[in-house]
Amino acid sequence: MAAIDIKLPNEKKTSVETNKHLSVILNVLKWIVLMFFAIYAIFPILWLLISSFKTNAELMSEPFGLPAVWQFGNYLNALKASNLGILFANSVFISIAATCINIMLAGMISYCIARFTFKGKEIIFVMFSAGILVPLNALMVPYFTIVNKLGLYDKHIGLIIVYTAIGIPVSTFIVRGFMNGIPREVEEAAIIDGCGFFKRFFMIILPLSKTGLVTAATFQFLTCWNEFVYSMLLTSSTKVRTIQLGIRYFTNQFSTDFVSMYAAIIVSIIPSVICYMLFQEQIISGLTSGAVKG
Amino acid sequence: MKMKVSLKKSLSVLAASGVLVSTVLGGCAPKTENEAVSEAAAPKKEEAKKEEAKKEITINFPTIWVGTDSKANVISQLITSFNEENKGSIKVVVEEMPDYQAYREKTKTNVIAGNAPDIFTTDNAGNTEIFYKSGKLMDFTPYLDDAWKGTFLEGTLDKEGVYEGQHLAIPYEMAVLPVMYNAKLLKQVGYDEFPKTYTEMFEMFDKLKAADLIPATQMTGENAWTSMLWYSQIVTSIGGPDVYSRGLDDPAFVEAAKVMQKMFDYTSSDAVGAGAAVPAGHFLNEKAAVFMNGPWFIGRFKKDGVEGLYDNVQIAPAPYFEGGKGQAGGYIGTVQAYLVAAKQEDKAKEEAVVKFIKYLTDPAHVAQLSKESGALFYVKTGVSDDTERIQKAMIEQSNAAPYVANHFQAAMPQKVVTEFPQALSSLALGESTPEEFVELLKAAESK
Amino acid sequence: MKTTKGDKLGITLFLIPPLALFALFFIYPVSYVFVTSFFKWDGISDAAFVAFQNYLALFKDPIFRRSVVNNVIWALTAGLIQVPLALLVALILSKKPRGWKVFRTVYFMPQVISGIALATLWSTMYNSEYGLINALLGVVGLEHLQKNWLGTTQTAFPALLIYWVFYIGYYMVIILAEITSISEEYYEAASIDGANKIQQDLYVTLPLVRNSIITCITLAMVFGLRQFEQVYLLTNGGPANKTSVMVLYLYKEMQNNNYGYANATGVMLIIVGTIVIVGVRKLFASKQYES
Repeated sequence: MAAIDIKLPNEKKTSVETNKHLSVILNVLKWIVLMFFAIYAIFPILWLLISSFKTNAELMSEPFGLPAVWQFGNYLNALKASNLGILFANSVFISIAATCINIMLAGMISYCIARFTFKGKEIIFVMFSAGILVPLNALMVPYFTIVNKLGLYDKHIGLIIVYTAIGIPVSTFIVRGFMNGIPREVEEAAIIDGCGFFKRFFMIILPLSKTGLVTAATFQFLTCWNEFVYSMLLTSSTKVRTIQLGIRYFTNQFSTDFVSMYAAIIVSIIPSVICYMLFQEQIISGLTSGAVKG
Repeated sequence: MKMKVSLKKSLSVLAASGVLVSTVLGGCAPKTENEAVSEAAAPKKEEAKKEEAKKEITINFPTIWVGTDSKANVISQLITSFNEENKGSIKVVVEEMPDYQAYREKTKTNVIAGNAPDIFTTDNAGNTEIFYKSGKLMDFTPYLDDAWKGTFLEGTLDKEGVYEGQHLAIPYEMAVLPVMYNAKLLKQVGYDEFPKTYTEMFEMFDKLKAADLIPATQMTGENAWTSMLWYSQIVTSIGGPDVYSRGLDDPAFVEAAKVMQKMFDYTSSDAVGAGAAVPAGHFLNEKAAVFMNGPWFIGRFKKDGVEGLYDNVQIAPAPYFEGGKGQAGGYIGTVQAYLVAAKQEDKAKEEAVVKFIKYLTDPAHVAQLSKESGALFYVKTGVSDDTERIQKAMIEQSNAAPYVANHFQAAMPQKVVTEFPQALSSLALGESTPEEFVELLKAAESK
Repeated sequence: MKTTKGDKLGITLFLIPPLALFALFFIYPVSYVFVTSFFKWDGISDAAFVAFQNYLALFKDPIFRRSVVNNVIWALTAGLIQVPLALLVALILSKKPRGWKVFRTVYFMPQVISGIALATLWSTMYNSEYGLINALLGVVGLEHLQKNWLGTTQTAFPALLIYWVFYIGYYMVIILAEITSISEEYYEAASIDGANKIQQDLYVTLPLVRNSIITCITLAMVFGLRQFEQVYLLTNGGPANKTSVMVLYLYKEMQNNNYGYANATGVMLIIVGTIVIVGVRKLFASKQYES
């Protein structure tokens, strides 16, 4: 283990009395901060939830009031009209597949860039960094052409490949950063033990960069989940399309049925929030138990 | 010891993948010298295969008339019955595109990539010009015999959808955009009908304002739709219905901007930056007395309006501008949707496409569509006793109108249309004078 | 460390798939964008070579210049305010106060709801006729401060930035995950030395999570530079183009079928972005422990 220097200033010992006052104030401040951000974060969901039980007229006249009659029909609308079930299943499948492949590929390339020296490494790194900034809106025509010529138009795999690809620069950027931080000694010890390239990657580097992988995966998943432009451009049938179509289903040329749209949004986020809560437990426990860093 | 791994292998693979990329995408490089994209795209190949097997012809039809659109039900019924009637020979497959912006982007991308959908729709904005120029659209001229032509309103087919002598687009849905007002609120300030001139209208606005009402809604967010319509009314009223053809140098544009600036003194405090939902909300909640929109909005008076709103809504032509070149009773309108089709190699498929378009434009079907949705069409359907009253008034007023002029958004180049909301908010906030407002539009035009 | 023959093979095998995808979905389309940026092109007609004319026109356009400035402000706000806020919350939560797991989930929730929902909520909040912000100002007697927040030149851009800067969930989760993985031994050692909780945070936690923080700052800035959806939905760049950003500018030019010019904007975005990000990395480079 590489020792990390903990630099403490000399005047570290403060008197007990000041400490007491300070800790009370800090405690209050702490809860203010926590509550502020909690209210701020919960507010949109709460508003969405209440609004999803209103009529459109109520939403327009009193956007922050309670509904006179709770309109459960909005949920029937949302579930009936837009094939939400299929769209949701597609979103789950496409997002998970694109996230797994993406993270695998990002891990592979990051390992090479972060842990080895070779010709062209710098060029790859610079290209990938610039890739983060590419405005995807400008690439509609080339992407459509590519997907069409590969025969992947209106297929799950088409969206999976595109989503995998568009996330590679960001994921690589994140994962590489974490892999850079793994001390060289760990790997050197493994070499002495006779571990080859692949074994070191799978047994040492990947587990040690778990935080980075999870960070990148979270982001990649959210990108896939919320992507709309390409999901419409590269598909044409409901059996392939994603949840974003379900949400946009209540928009038409001249107006939007906001209350039904909000109901669709609520329906679509409930499973993802539950998944997130379950999944996060796994991640965090995995992280703590596997903490051999430093 | 510094160790280097040669990247030769990786590079050669990269090069190979580069070759792969360029072979796969042969025709996709930016076209510099009229290098037309002519490769048959994947879906078309599949169709060709099907054709050999003597199977039914599949027509893909991406459409916005789905979901909550007022035409969705009837369109869906029409397609189902068409598919049943032509079972085994033709099948229309719908692609649902409820989001209009996404629809416009997708159809444009399809056409640019050389892969136009078999049938789709477009409006009177910038995309249509790209479609015409692309050379990918079917020319309906050989099919437009007198019998089919005769079902459309007089003269529309000679004027609309014609590009270089070819009929590339069939005008379908019509937009007419009168003043819609709340008769109950007008009565409160002593008016039984909508004023005939702008001077009178502003007098009424003063009274409405004094009664703590929003006289007329405006918006500068999104595409500034309702305010764009007002500006169109004013500019054609001052400069005449042909004002757009004279370009932005015509003094009418500055004069109209002066009136427009005044309009913003009589609107809601949230008008600058407001999207379409905001003015709609004010009118539907009887907070605003005057509103401007098209026939598709009729259904919402009942559905989303406050109790009894529908019975209070009346429509009128926009006021007349004293000393202007326009005439009293002049109307604003445009083609809201053209039906367009991709050029087909295969004659049988071409005929199938035309057959479906004829089915959609069949007067009986259009009458049904119009009745259920409230929308108006370029196909003659006539007014019957059970025509909805506001829709009936729109048809009568626009028929009686001395002219139906285009609106600004349809008549001006796309660059100007894009800049219009920004220039208008600048005008409304007093950051720009009316002259500067027109200068901003001109600057956009020359970009 | 020696790179063996096995390593060379491994590296080659590992580089091929991601590089192939990158070539197909980035190098090829971006070269397409790059090449067309030197042409006047409507997407369908013959393109006319105009050399640097699109770029010159961009520099001359005050709306584009404002878009760049707005993006840079956005990126700096994200990197220097949003991420530090996320760090603060992560530090508090890492002490596992009562209900910390609930907080952690709640903070993350706005990330999973659609951008449309957030945008409609906040345009309603800021509305001057029925918005909640003006109503609250009215309650506390500050009527004179009420305004049409997104429709006033001075307040539109700050209003966009402010509502958005407090959605810290994503960065908070990243940093918190990293903090949780720090071994207890460090804190034990520090408390033996008599360090209090705050000192522990400053001298133990911060150096150990530096990688995460730098990653978050860079990401936040990238998102600031690429910002599009919320601006498009809330103000569409208005009023009077005051809230325009680069991607929105590009998007509008695509609507105008002005593809050469739009693509020049895209190239400029990559260049401006690279400068900002390289700048930030330089700033932190001295402190980064690259091996």
